[in-house]
Amino acid sequence: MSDAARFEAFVRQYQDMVFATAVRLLGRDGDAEDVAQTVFLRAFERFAELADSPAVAGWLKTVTRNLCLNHLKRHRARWRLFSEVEPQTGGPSLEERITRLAAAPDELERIERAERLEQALRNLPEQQRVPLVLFHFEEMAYQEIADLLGISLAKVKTDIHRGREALRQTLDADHDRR
Amino acid sequence: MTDADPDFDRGLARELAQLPRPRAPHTLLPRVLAATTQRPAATGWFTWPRQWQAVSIAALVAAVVGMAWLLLTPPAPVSGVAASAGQTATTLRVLWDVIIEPAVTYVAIVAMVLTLVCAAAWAALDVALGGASHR
Repeated sequence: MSDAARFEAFVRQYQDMVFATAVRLLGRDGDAEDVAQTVFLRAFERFAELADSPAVAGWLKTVTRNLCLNHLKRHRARWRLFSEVEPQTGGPSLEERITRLAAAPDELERIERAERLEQALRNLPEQQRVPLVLFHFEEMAYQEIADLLGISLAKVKTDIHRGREALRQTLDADHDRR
Repeated sequence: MTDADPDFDRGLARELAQLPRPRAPHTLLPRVLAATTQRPAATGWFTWPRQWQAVSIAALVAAVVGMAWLLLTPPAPVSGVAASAGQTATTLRVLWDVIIEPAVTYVAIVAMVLTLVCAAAWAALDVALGGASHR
């Protein structure tokens, strides 16, 4: 297999993992795709070293996380403005709509609740979403999150608690409307 | 901060863990591949695997040590080669002084004049054809 083919297979294998980490940290598909592209370009530069490394998934996650945090720092003011003006609604894709049509009512309810939760997570304010995602999806400890973000342990706990409360309110409000 | 509800927190953690992983958009792979074709794969020393870096450092050290040893205590064959290289250099210098150096100035002037004439002819042709060379 040529190097180009090997790299394409590599991107196919890890693109969902990298994108999922990025989109949950950043809350926006477009930004997440940009960051994911940068992550894979960095991987391309070190592909000879990374290709057969057992630690490649960890390396990709760490680079993705760091690039996302840098992105948020760099674009914080602009990001806040846009996230307030145009909260991402991101309608379901064609594949998702087909899955829904084929699903049983209970399954449909479960899928829709998962979508609401995912959307609510992405719409959380950055200071709540980032520690929440690092805790639940990146499986980092409170202290590790505090160290990574350069904030106090107490603030991490408070932000995560507030994030959970906001998710609860969103889900409860949805439930009441139905 | 209000008190946490452990049941809710556990339930939420479970729900979050079960969320399907967002899938990368179909545009990501073509974007990455297009970007990689625009930049060649890095082959710089810092991108080499560690073993290759170690071997290259060892080879460099061996080369430096070998050169130093040759310069400080040259064996007989090396001395012979150095002597014949000196004779060749002397011959080349004589050739340069007698034949090449007197002519090189005139050759350079002729080349410069020819270049200027060509450039002027090209510009005149371009004007005459109304800038056709740019289309």
